[in-house]
Amino acid sequence: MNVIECNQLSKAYGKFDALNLLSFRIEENKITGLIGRNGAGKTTLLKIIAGYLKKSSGELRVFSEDPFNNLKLSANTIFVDDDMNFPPALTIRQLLQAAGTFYQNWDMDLALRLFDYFEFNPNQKHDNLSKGKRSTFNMIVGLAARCPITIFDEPTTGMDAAVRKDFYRALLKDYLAHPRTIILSSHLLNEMVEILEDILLIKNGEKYFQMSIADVKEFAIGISGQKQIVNEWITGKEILYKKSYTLGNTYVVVRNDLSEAELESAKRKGLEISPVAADDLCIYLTGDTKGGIDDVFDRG
Amino acid sequence: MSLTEVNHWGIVKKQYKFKLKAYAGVFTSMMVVQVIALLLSLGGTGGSSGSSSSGFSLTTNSYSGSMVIAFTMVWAFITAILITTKAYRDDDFTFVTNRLTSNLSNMLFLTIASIIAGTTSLLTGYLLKVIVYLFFDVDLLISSSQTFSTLLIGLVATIMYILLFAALGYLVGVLAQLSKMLIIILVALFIGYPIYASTGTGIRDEPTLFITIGQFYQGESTLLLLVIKIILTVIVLFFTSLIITNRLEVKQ
Amino acid sequence: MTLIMQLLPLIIMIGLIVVIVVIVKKNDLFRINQMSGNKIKWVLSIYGIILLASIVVFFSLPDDEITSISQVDSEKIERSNQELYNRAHLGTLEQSKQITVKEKWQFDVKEQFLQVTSNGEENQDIIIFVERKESNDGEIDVVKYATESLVNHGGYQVELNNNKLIVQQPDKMDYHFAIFTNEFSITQFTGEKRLHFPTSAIEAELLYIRIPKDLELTGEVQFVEL
Repeated sequence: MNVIECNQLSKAYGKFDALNLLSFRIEENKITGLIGRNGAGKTTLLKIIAGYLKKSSGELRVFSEDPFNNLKLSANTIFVDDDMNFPPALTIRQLLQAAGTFYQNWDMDLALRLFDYFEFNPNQKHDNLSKGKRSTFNMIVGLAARCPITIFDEPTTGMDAAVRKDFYRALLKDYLAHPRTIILSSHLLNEMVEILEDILLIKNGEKYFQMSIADVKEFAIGISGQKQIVNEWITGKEILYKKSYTLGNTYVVVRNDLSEAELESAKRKGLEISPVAADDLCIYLTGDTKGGIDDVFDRG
Repeated sequence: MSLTEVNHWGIVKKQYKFKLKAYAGVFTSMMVVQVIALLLSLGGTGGSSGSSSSGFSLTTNSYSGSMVIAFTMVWAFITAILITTKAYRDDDFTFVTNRLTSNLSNMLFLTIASIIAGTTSLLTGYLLKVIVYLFFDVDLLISSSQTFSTLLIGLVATIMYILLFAALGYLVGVLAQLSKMLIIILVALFIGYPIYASTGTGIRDEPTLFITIGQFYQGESTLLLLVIKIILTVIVLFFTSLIITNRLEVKQ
Repeated sequence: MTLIMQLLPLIIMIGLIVVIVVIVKKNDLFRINQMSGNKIKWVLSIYGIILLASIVVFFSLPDDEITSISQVDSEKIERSNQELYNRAHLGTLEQSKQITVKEKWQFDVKEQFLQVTSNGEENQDIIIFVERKESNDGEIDVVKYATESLVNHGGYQVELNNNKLIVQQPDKMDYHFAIFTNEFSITQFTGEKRLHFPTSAIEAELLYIRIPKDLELTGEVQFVEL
């Protein structure tokens, strides 16, 4: 069953198109990673799904309903990001209680245990927490709410590596115990690649691809070798990324729709073939120039 | 995971209870405003002095909570604007809400806040009088008829006036969200019109628009009619705010 | 200039609102309240208790210490004050019910002249009416008349020293009234106007002196021609 169905969705801020004719589906009880560069439209898309923003055109159905201004979906969706607003009059402990009154599936026990684990002082104010602590607190709210749709937008901002690891582990454990639809957005794919089932990659407000994590790992291969030989070999193939090194070496990432024979020929020509990691691939795919940052400096 | 069903009124009540806790700060600011007004009122809110043909001089000072009520009305106006601002608005959306329930719980909150503010502002007037009685050295204390029935009338009417200003502030706040331009126009109108009216461009003694509007409420000598007038106005103000906000986006 | 004066309160009011809003916006005054919910609850409860207590105290204030007065009463005082002076001019003070004789003095004069002065002050404030008697009986009759009023007091005293009639001012000349009025949200229904107190709310007095027919008299007095 598809929980989120999105057809030709567009969102414009004035003349700027944040989202452009985006179509995708997200199945129930899957963890999907929403990947894209800064400004690709990730946050806009998530806020439209959460019902905060209004779409400009197209169709978006969440549990077969329009999410904008939808109370029922609001009760079943939680949107966690690093600037979640909490009233400063309440202590963080009181905030947990308040959240508990709003979300029916709220697990206070889990919230308090996480609270203890991350060593929160229950009498502190949300405004006075450090950036990393604030993100951790928001994450606790997001997890304990147990909403059928749980959205984390850049949830690990400011967290240190250990807490980030704990967070993904906690997320996975809670997900396994209480399966639900989770969307995680981040520009750091490598740290969450292990818990993702699906990846939705968007670029400049458009969908680039959506596939399972296993498929992503098979999506492309890297070829490296002498510049001339590589160039010769790749003609007519879909080039995703290309990087030249000094000493005439070139590294090229091509789509992995190659036949056995083609691979054989590459090996025979002395080219090196290597798999491409999912997070590297995503960077390559979302890059605007095929050469990356080096091109900026390598002119002339 | 199965979907939770919700009913609007239940959510409104939850949010209202939440806001009563979360916005508790507005009541401290109310208290501060009322205490300031009380201190200013200790100087007397109007009076006269003169000497008689027998050579005695007489100074009279009037004491009433009118200034406290007026200050509280301004407080209600500003507070209502405040809770429409982004920071407060977005608080709602962290938890379960839609624009309708967010607005309704705000209105419920403002209504309850007006009842509290109306009661306390009227009672502050009595505190003022008690202070004058206990600590001021005067030759004669004169009191216009103040009974439990005037107290009850005062409670109802004061609450109404404060609610009126809260509802007005709420609409102004909502308009401000819609466009900053609109606020400039409104301010220009509110400042410009009295200047225009008082320059005598029109006929001199003609009551200005504001006086006419003020008379509509202040000139009403039947409590029930005043209550009806204000409640109808408040409904119109709140309803307009509701219509305007219902399509606004949040967390931009 | 007058325009600016007229608009001044409005400008001040708007200025105040702008300042409040700017401060609130800048410092997030209402948002950063370091007081916790519990403290706020306490402070507000104390405030509420003080307010409730004050209303109980107010309604149990002893009645005899607070005068209840209406505009009608106030006008009546003003009228009887007018009457006092009108009748004095006509010499018909005795005929009024509102005017009472407060004090009487009788002095014998031996000299042929009399000076009316006040004690120390440059001029006396009380108005003195003088009526010549039909005959020269060698006696001066001084009568102090007063109106019914809100504040009664000992008032002016008179004494004769040689040929000087000295009018002594009472010690207390300055009076201070406090008026408790209802709030505008109440007066709108009760219809009460702002209470205006005539200065004659302090018991008005005048001295009426009868002197022998041919006594020569100097001082600030008014002669009554009958």
